[in-house]
Amino acid sequence: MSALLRWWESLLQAAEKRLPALTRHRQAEVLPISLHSRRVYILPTRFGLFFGLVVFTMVLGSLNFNNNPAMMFAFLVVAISMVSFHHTVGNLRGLTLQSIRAEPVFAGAPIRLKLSFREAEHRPRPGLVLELESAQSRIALPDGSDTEVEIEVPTTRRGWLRPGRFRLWTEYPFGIVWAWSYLHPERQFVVYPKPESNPPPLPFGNREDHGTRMRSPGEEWQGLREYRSSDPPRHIAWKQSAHADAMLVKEFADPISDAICLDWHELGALEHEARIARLSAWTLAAQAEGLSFRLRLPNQELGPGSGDEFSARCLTELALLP
Amino acid sequence: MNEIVHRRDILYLTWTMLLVVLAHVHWLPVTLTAAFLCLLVLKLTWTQWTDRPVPLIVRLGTMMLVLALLVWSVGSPVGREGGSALLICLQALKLLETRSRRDARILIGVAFFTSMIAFLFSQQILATVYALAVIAVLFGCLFALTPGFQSQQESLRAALKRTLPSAGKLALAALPLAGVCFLFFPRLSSPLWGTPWDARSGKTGISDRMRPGMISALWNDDTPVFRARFDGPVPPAPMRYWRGPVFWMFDGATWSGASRFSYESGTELSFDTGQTAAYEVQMEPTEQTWLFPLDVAVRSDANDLRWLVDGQVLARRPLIEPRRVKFTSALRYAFEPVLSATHRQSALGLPWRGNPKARALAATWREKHGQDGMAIANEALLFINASFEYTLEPPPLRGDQIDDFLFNTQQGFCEHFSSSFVFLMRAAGVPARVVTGYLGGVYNESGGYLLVRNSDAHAWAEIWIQGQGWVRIDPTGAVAPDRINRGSVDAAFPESQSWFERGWLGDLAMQSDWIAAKWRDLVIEFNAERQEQLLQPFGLDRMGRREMAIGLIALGTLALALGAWWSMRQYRRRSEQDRLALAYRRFQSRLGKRGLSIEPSEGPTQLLARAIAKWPERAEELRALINRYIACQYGHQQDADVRDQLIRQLKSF
Repeated sequence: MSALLRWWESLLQAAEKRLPALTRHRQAEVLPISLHSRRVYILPTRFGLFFGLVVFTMVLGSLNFNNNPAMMFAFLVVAISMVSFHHTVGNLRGLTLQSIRAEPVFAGAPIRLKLSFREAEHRPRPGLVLELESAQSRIALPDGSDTEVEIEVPTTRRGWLRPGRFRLWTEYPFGIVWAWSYLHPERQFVVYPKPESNPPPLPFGNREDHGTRMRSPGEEWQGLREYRSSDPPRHIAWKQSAHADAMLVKEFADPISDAICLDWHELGALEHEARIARLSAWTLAAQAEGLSFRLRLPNQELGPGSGDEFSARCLTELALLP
Repeated sequence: MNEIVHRRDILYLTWTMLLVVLAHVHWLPVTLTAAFLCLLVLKLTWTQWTDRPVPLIVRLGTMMLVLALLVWSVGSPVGREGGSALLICLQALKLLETRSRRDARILIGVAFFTSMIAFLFSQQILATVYALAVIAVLFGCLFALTPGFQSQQESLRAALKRTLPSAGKLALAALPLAGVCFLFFPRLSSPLWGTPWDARSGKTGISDRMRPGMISALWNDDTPVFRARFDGPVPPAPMRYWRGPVFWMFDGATWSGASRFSYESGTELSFDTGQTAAYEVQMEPTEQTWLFPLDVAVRSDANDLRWLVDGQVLARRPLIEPRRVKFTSALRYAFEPVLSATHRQSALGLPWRGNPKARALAATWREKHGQDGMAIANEALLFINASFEYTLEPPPLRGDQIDDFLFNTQQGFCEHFSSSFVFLMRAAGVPARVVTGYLGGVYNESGGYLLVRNSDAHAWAEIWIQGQGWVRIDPTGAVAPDRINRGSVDAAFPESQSWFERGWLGDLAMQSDWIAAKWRDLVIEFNAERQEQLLQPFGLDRMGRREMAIGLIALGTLALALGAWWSMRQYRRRSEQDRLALAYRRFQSRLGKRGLSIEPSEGPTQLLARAIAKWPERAEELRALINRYIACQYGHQQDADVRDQLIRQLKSF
C-alpha cells in the first residue's frame, strides 16, 4: 500500500516537472498580474457532484414518465446551472493584481500582506477567497473600484520572504462549481531578525565624548558645510542652501560625528544568530532613545546616523546577513 | 469552509421549505401536513432561542413519530403517495438537523427533487408556474449560502431583496437553453422502468359499482373528465349520452358489471351509415380503464382497446396519462337484434327475494301487455312521471330499497330511477340493464370542444325489444326532462348553480378551461411523435434521433452562449466618462460623414469653429452642444442628469 502511495507521489512530482500547465505558475511573475480566461480553472465542488446526481435523476425520471412539465423543470435547473458556470469564471476574470505591500515585521510575528487588486470591469465581485498555504482571507470586492486586501502570513525566519503562490478562488454563485487561479507575484519582503528579549544595555563606552545629545532646533550653530549623506535632515540649513544653490548643513560646536558603535566583532562570545539578535535589539534601543550610532558588520559598515530610516536600513542589513 | 449557517439564513431556509411543500398540500393527508408544519415551527423557535444543535433525542423522537404517522395515514412508504410523503418527511427532519452550510446545501438539493415530484400529481399550468417560481427561490437560497457573501447584520428581507433578483435574472437567461432542451431532447418512446404506482381508484368519479347516492354525490364535482372535438356538427344535448360502465347484476342494493362477458367479443351491431358522428375524445387521467364514447361506438383509431359485448370500450391499462382516441359512433342503430340465451338470462336476473311490491306492480303490467316491451316501459314511465321528484339530496333508503323508493320516498336521483326502472322491467319479463356514464357536456366556444365533467355523470337504462335490439330508455326524462334537454344538472336545478358559476364568472371558468386544454395540448402531450414533427413547418421532414441530437447540441450551445452573454452583459457597462466620450466620438464621426473633415487631434473648440463655418445655420445649436460637452467632460459639471441629456442630444443631432 505504501509502495503504491510512494509511486503515486513520484508520478505526481514527475508530472509537475514536465507538464507546463501545472508548472507555469511555479515561476514567479512580474506585477501587475491580470487574470484572463485561460488562467482560471473550474471544477465541480463536492456539493456540485451531489447536485448533478440529483438533477440527473430528475431528468431521467421526467423522461421516463414522459412528464413534460417535470421535464421543463429539470431542464431549467440544468440550464441555470450551466449559465452560472460562466458567472463563476467571470467572477475571477478581469481582476488584476497591481501591487503588494507590507509593513516590515520581525521574525515570528505574522506579516500582513496588502494586495491591491484593480477591477477593470466595474462590477462587484462577492465571495472571493484568497489563500496562501494555510492562511486564508475572505474578500469581496465592492462595486467597481480598486481594493486592497489583507492576508496575514506567519513568519519564522529572518531575511527575504517570498510569499509564494497565492490561490484565489470562488464558489459564486451557487457553490456548484468552483473556479480558481494562481498568482505568483515576483515580490519579496524583508523580515527583520527577532531582537533579543532582554539585551544588555547599549555599549556607551565606545563613544569618544560624553553627552551626545539631540540638537534642539534653534540652538546656536557655528558654521556651514556641505551636506553629507549621513547628516540628519534636521540639520540642513534651508535658507542658506537656497541662496547658495547647494545643500548646506549647519555645523555645531560639538561634533556629532562620534556616535555609539554597535560592533559585530566585539560580540565574539555569542553565536551568529545570537549576535544578530543582540545587534537588532540594540538598534531598536538606539532608535528609541534617538541616539545616533554606527553599525559595524562583517561585510560593511553603516553609519553614523540616526532616525527611523537609518534604523530600518540597519535592520535590513542585519536581516540579510548570510 | 463548512461553517455554521447564520440564524437569518435558517429562517430563509424554513420559509423555502414551506413553499416547496405547499405544492403538495392538495394531496397530502392533513395529519402529515400538520406534522410538517409542527416541525417547521419547532425549528424556527429553536433557532430563535438558542444556537445549540437540536438534541439527538428530540431528533430521533420526532423521526419515529413522523414515520409512524406516515405509515398510519398513507399506508406504505412506497408508491407514488407513499414515496413522496416519505421524502417530504425526511426533508422536514433534515431541516431540523441543519446547522452547517453543507447540511443546508444538501437540504436544498433534496428540495429541488421534491418540487419536481409535485408534477407526478398535477401537470396543470398553475402547478408549473408555481414550481418555476420555487426554482428562483431555491437558487436564491444557494446564492445566499455562498461563502463570504453576506454581512452578518443584514436582515432577512434585505438578503431576499439582494438574492432573488439576481437569481431571477439568471433564470431568465437560462430560459432559451431550457426551451431548446425541452424541444429537442430525444424522448423515450417507452419507459425504462414501469409505472411507480398502482392506479388505485383514489379519484372520485364513475365507479364499477352503482349504489344509490354514488352518482348524486358527483353533482358538485366540476373536475373535467374528457373533452370531445367533433368533425362535423355537435350533436344536440338530448343526444349526448356517453357510455361508460354497464351493469347487469343486482343484489338488492348494488349494481355491478358482468365479468363473464368480458371475454366475449363481437356483438352484432347494424347502423345507419348516414347518421354517424366522428369525433376525438381527449381523456383526462382518470386512473380507470373506461373510455366514454358517444352511444354507440362502432370503430376507433386506436388498436389497443377492448370492445365489450355491451358496448363498453375499455383501455388495456388504467389511464394515468391523458389520452386521445378518435371514435366514430352510430346515432341510429340496431344493437344485438338477436339476444343470446346467456345475455337474456343475465338481463332478467333478479335476487330471488325482496321488493315484493315492485314485483307485484310489474306483474300487473305483464298481464296487461304480455310480451310488448315498449308498452310495459311506457307504463313504468307514466308511473314515474305521476308522483316522483328529482332531487339532489335523495333521502336514504331502508330495507327493500326498490320498494322503499317506489312507494315510500319517491324522491331520487338518476341512479334511483334507472335502478328501479330496470328492476321493474326485469320483474315484468323485459330484458334490461343499467348503463352509466355521462350525459351532456358544455360547449366551449373558443376551444371548439365539448367539455364533460364529473357533474355530468348519469345513469340510464337499456331494454331489449324484439326486432329493435337494445333500446335506450332514460327514466330521468320522465321526471326531469330539463336534465336531458338542457344537458346538465345545473339546467335541471337552476338554483343549484352557485353564484360563481353564473354569468361572466362562468365565462371566465370556461376561458380558464380553454387555457387548461391548450396547455394540455401543447405541453403535457408533447410526446415523441409531436417532437418529430416539430420542424415540419420549416420544411424538414420527420426528424430522426440523429438530427434531433445534432439540433440539441447546436442550438443548445447557441442558447447557452446567448444566455450567458445576456446575463453578463451588465458587467461590461462602461463608466459614465466612457459613455460620454463614446457619444462625442460618434457625434464627431457623424459630422465627418456629412462632409466635415475629421482631424483626430483637434479639440472640441476647433471642431466647433469648423462646424460653424460649414453649417452657419445651426451655429447656435452647435455652440450650445459643444459648450455643454466641454463643461461635462473637462469642467465641473457632474450632474448625472445633465450628462445623460447631453448624451441623448449628441446621439440625436
